[in-house]
Amino acid sequence: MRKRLNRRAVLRGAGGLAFGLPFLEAMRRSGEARAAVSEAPKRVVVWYNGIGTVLSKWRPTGIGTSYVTSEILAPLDTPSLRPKLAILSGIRGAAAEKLSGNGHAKGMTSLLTGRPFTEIKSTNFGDTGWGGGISIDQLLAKRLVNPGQLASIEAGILTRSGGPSSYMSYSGPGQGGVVPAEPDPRKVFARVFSSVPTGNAGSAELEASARQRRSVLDTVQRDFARLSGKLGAEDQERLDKHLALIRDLEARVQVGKSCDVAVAPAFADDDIRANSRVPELGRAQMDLVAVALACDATRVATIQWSGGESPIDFKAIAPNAPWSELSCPASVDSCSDGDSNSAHHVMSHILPSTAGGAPSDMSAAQSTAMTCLTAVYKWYSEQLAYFAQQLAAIPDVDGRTVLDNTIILCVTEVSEGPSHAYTDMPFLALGGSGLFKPGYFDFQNQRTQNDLFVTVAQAVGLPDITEFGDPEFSSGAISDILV
Amino acid sequence: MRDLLGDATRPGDRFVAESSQLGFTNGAASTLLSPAVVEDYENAAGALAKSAISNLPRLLGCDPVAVGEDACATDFVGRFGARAFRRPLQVEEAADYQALYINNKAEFGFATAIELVVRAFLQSPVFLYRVELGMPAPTQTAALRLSPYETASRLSYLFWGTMPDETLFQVASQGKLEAPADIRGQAQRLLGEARGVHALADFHAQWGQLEGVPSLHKNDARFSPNIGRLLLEETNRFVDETLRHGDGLLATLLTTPVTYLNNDLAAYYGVSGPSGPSFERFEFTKGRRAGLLTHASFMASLAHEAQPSPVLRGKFVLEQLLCSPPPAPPDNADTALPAADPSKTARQQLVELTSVVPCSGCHALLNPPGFGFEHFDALGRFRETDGSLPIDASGDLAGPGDLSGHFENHEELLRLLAENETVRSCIVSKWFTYTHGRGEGEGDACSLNRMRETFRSSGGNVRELLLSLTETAAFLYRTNPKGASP
Repeated sequence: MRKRLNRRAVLRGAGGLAFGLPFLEAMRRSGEARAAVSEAPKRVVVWYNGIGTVLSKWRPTGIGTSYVTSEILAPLDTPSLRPKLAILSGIRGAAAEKLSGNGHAKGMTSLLTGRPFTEIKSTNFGDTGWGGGISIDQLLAKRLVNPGQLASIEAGILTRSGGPSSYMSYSGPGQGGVVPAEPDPRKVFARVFSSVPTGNAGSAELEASARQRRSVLDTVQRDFARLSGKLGAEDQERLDKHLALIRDLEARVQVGKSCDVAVAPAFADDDIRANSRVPELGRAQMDLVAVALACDATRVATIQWSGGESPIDFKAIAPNAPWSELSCPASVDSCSDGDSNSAHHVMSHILPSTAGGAPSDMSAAQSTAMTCLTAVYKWYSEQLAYFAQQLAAIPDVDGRTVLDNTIILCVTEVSEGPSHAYTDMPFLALGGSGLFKPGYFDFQNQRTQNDLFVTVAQAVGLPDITEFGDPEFSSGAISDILV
Repeated sequence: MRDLLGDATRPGDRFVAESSQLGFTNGAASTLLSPAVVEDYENAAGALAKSAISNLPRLLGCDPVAVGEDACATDFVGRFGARAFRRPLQVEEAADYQALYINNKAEFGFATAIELVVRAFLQSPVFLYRVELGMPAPTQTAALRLSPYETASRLSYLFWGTMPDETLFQVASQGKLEAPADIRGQAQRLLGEARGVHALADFHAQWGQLEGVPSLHKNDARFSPNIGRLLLEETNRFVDETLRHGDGLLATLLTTPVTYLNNDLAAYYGVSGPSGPSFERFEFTKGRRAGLLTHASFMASLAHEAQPSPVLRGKFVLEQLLCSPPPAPPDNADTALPAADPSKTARQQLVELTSVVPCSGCHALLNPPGFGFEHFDALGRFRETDGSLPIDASGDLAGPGDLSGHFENHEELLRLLAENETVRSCIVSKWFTYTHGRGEGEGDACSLNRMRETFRSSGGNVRELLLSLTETAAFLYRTNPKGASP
């Protein structure tokens, strides 16, 4: 099942960044090259890019499979991707609506948890809190992981550490449950390719290293046991969680790694937070996730483009991008955050709501913002298309492609910037041939993200997941899109 | 790690980033726990242990040939363990690590067995966390006095950001770290040594939110990541010289025209100063710079790509100096500035925009302290004009608290702030949060009062504040998990 990659050939080229995905087929061991296995692993990637969209430029026209795509979604309207794309309009972020508070924090904390936030703090910035329970990616990770695999990989682009609007993945409720995305591709690389002992499965060398590891972790666990009961409740909870993670590590001792890759992505420390490197950082993270899925190092991943108050300044990125010729507002004053270059977040606040169609009386600044934001979201569609094509280029063990066995679920924390609304959430599902129905669906805000997550869980073979998150908002799978 | 193993690779730099809690990153809850973090710890422990045994004689401190391998290992477990745990090992702990050694020695050899012992110590919760159990006391007591070893750790992590040195271990073992005068004496020693710069530099970098300065995005070739790093270095040195070697006064920190520059920074600031790469004392001419907040590190980070931001600057003053963070603008507020108008300064445009309801309420507090820094552009360089129009850096303070008065420029504004009681009280709170990694609780009133009193009576001396906080109950005790609530 696990593919063996030649460690030398995979990564090479410009700055160590050109991942050799198209070569994967050639690297498979000859013996398993054509031996199609009937069942390939099912995988899920949660894709996030922030601050919603421009709804009037996002919605296709028509309905079902005969829709005409929109300006923003056009990059996904290729002959190979269209049959694998479900455009899911009219999903309601019901959990976010339940409580009042800071718009992006509410959206981010409830987005993947399907619950209103918890540990609520009344601050001068409006109520904030942390996620109210496990997020769908982490639940799927727990359920889909095989012994020896990473349960999940969380890759970020300019994700930041900070308050609740920076995070979307949770292993459980509260700040202690946060699973942060890793913005440094070098660290993602190290996690995927160097955290398990090397050697051939079953070899004496690997066996020895596994035994050593187990004896170290056993000693460590006895230190944990001795502290138990001597600490305050919060500290104890943290230690218990830490111990549980150590036990997870032990479970990974058994299996050798057959997917190690020699060359790490080359970035300098300053690059990781540099706005100007966003395209390269994004590509590195997408490529790493693709490789990790391809060699079955994990079955669940998240790709998180910044956070709820995205500081990405698109005007400064990529001189050839369309917005560089537009007079997009770049240096505007924002009192709501500490970003000096918050073009995306700030621009999104200039836009009027387009949920009911673009208003006819927009000011010049609003029209410009709409043009620029449309270009931004279209750029994200291009990135998504790139990622999907990478997965489509890798043959899977069942003779299909990795994309055919992977559902990419695209989400965002509000539907549009200015309204911070949680109706008409612009979600997508891409990939997963035969796992869900393609086409354009409009659920008229009668279905929630909770229902969508249940649908995805069932689509990847977990029929026992019949509700998710806050039961108040969970009414079961969306049968319209289930195959 | 540097002090435990002589390792200079700083493996922690590669760990998953911490979240922030109350504005500082050293709170217990801010270090997030995820599979990636625990894997980071394991990988780092493995790499460090491997590299440590490459120089076995140095690591061991005993000669396995002369005294026998097992005797040397026993000795090593006790000594290394005491340093890793910042206290002598308990009997069961020593037995467990001893067993780890014995169980692996036969199969994998002496060196590997030692390597595994080091690997385990470095992943132990007692090493990774600063465990504070306190000393035994009746269960109903609300607070437990920390043991001398725990007090030693609190001191060394506060002042040095690292484990206690040999002297601290020694005084702890001799019972000379219990009387307040002894503790203060050690605090003085730690602050006086070269690495005493840690607490002051780290506090101000976190308080000033300066971590991102090297990666600021400025559309100007004069700014670079390297300049950003030099600006941080300037601020660190300034803080060290002013608070540790100088008069230690908050007023000096906030108002002095003196700073520390090298040739690159002199060029960046546009002054003729030091001509070499090493940092030297430099005094700006009157009217130019006044203390910490006017460093380019602060001014450039409280700015946009090409424009300074009075709003971010005002917000910083309210949050970090006055402990009165302004509320966020309403969701429907249009926070974009209109296009640049050459007939008006950015200040005039901002005033027009924010003098109407619903903006005027908060901006009446936010704008004035922000306008005081109008002389500093987006790079933090001094400017006389905004476009072709003269700068107006004057204003009238109207709160919060007892803050009031008219100022003509940043010098006068900073003088008002430096002399203000709310500011002093806020700085005490910030130090409390930084030291204890938590917010103020009800039981902390005494400790805070004592800190405020010392700060006031010393004329706002930060050095005195720092020493006095080691004498407070908050520093010497922990909450008893089994005790009655205070």
